[in-house]
Amino acid sequence: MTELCLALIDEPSDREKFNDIYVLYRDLMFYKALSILHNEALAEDAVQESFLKIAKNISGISEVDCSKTRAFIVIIVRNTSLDMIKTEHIGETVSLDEDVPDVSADMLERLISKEGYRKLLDAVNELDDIYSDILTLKYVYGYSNDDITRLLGMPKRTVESRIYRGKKMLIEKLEGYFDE
Amino acid sequence: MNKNANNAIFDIMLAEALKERCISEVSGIDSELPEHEFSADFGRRIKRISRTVDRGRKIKCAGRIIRKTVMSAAAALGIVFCLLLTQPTVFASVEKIIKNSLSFYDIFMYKGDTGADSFDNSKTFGYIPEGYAIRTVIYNSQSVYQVYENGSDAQIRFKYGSAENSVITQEKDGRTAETFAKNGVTYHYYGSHQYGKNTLLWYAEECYYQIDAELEKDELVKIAENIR
Repeated sequence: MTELCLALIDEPSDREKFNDIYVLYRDLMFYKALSILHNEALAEDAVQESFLKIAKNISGISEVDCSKTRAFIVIIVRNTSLDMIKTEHIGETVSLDEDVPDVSADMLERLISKEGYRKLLDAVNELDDIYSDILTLKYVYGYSNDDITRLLGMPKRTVESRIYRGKKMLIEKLEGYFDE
Repeated sequence: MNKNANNAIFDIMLAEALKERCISEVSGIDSELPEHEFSADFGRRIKRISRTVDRGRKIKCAGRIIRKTVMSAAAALGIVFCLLLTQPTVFASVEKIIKNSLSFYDIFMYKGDTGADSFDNSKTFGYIPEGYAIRTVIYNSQSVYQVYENGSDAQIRFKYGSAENSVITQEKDGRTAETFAKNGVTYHYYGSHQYGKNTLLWYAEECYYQIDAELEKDELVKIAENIR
């Protein structure tokens, strides 16, 4: 009970954290959105929308000035901007029976080496942002599919579809590298 | 190694690769970006968003505090109540309240001033059923209690008292209840299915009267009509 009361009084205000994020990253977010939308007014809208999403998930951000938070902010504003273009969700469906593709023992054996990891990194860098962002939120930041749906304001099927396609693309790329 | 283990290991490696990609992306972003002059409308919208940030957390916190306080208070009250229920008088009162609320009882209340200066405690049966004789009489200032016995376990219990501000309850559960009038007097009869003890209750001459006995209704009415 005491802890809860202290949480009301002593915890660094979420509003302070939000204001710090705003001051530190607003220009970065604007230029990132501008690079996608090519329109200043739309870019401001995307930044405002992104801040709304950040405000709702402020408790998930611990340290403001770090590369992890920076990357998170970039993912949010990039996806918000892409969402405003509204071309990505059309036709993105995946069969209910399809699972994320399995990794074979043979591929895993090849990956567990310096050279193999290099190839994985190359495949990840070549992946489209719309897939790598979702995979990053899931595997680096630990968000569930439902969390990602809420965070990005994206249909759940779209999130599941991008996880599936992203992983499938990676595995196919890696199979291509190792066959060469 | 099974495929679940393979997938788990791949996911760990993928997480590391994605993290590297993120870090190289953000470190490649120019930290000296020119300051953009946002519109006034943008500033207003951001201020509105900023105001909502703390609100949610504080509401959740306050909600948790209230919930815990209420639960603690309810638990404490529950413990106190259970301890009180171990007291026979408290248990009986609670039982009575529950039964009243569930209509297991009829309640007879007589309020107001009877105008009587004194209470006549000399009344007795004018008609006593065969085999019965008075055995016990208990007096107090406002009521009389008499017990008639027939030598075996059967008893007739007669109680009467001043009606003013009196409250009489009769259990209905497992009994038939009947109200009827005879010779200008309204009787309330309760017939027992289980234990054979029937009750006749009425008001007359600023007094309440009650007879409990293993006798039929007509016999009880006959006793009532012959009280002197």
